[in-house]
Amino acid sequence: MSGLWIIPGNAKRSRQHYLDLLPTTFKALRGEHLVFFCESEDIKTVVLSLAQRYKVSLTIKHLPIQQHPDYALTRQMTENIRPENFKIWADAFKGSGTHEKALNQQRFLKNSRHDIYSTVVVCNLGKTSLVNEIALENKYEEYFWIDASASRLGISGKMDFRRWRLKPGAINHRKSGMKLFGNRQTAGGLVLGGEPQVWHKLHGIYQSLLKTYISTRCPHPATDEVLMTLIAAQHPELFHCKNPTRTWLHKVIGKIIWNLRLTSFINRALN
Amino acid sequence: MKSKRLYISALWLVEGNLKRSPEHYFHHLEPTLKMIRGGNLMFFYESEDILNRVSAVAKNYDINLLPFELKLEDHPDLERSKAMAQNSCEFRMDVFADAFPDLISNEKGFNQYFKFLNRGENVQAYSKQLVCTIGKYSLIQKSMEKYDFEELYWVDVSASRFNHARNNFDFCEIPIRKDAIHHYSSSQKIFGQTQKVQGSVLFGNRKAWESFAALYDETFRAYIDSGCTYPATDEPLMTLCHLKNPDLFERVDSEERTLLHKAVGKLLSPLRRSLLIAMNQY
Repeated sequence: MSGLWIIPGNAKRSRQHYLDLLPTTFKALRGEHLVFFCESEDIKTVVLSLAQRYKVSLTIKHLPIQQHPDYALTRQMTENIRPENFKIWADAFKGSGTHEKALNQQRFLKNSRHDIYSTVVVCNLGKTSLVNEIALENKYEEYFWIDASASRLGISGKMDFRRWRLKPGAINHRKSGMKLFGNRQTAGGLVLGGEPQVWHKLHGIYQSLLKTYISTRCPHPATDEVLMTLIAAQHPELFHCKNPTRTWLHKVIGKIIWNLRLTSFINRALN
Repeated sequence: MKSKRLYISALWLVEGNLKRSPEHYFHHLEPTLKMIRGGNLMFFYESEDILNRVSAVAKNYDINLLPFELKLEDHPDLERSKAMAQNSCEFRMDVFADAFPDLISNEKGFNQYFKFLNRGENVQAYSKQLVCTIGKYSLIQKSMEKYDFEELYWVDVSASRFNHARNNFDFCEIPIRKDAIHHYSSSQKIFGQTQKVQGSVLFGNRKAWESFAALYDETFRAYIDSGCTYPATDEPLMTLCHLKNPDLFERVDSEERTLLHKAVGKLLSPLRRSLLIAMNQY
């Protein structure tokens, strides 16, 4: 599954950003079945042409963004996300804080009208609902969400999702570079794969968390990655990273450094 | 010869202070005053009981006590503290605190919101508690107006709790090295970034404090006007000041980086990322 809505006034990405990346994303999907959610006729024309070129078995689902199943919830969630909440910290930590989600989102918030920001957010926040919907209607063994711009991080080697052997019972994903209060987010949202029952389970927990997020009026910007990180804290078994950064060798070396009480020395040496 | 150094401290016991009990302050009072034995101490207080306790201890340690009565209600920063506390009530990060309980002790905003502001339930007491930390710079200014000491040392009543717990903990022995606010480091974080300044002991010469006062006042005002919901105390505000003008600050507990550290660092630099991953710090 994938989707693309061009939101006028999107301060995060231009229309061209997506159109430039779509061909490489479609190329990576050669020979696969793809359900593509979109609204505008010109995007439909582009994806039809790409599907023909790369022999992708394409089903287009017409979905106006206002009819997205998570549209209303996302609008409620973003009511509490005001640019002034953390702007002073985003400005102060410019540079060092760019990987911190709340500060990073500031640049999308400050140049957008609130309704635009909310509509942009539903595009990423709402992917689990779309996958869940398709998984309920079909009988495939594995379902993947692929962002239209997934190719921006490179799809080759271990990161080629077509070669992934999915870990059962988990959403298989790539690592994320962003952080929440200094803790690395669990999953990057560009490529997510899992069996239908895992998607159903994730969707249930995800929707419940989103409602709690709204009812507690949390002022931290939420995206799919933020919610998945919060879910992973309670349900780590639901997630499996396909590019683990900490291998057994790292763990052994880490243990040796710790046992020899060299942590402080090495930190100081590395400055 | 007349001493050129003035120590400044204060104690108000705020009813509803969820952070510290009165015993906490009384327990640390004597060892703190012992550290400044023989010095000049300007002490801000409200209750006679506190003054009597401080006077008795000061007498034991030959301290020239310069008491100054200041009702907390008359503190020049009280209104600003109330406004800041009110903004902080909007920091409703319950879902994050449930997922990552460690944030409540490590991350400044979580610590303030969940432990002391009690999710906005304790805003009245919290405002008063906040002015005790956030308003110490107004008191230093007051002391500069009243006396002509050249070196001014802010010392929290409970500063002795850090004795032997940090490098160069005996601040009385640290000379003022330049026209800057001398400070210890903090382990708490703001959006995962380490706070630059710890507020228990701060010292500098008159010139440094005068430069700092204007910057702090402007930062304090801007923070409230921005409507920022991240709960701050003096330390986050000092961090913002540090980010704006790092030359105005001098850390006094830096761990020395020796030649050996530098040589090993040079050798290990190609493996930096892998080592940080191994140590679970990446």
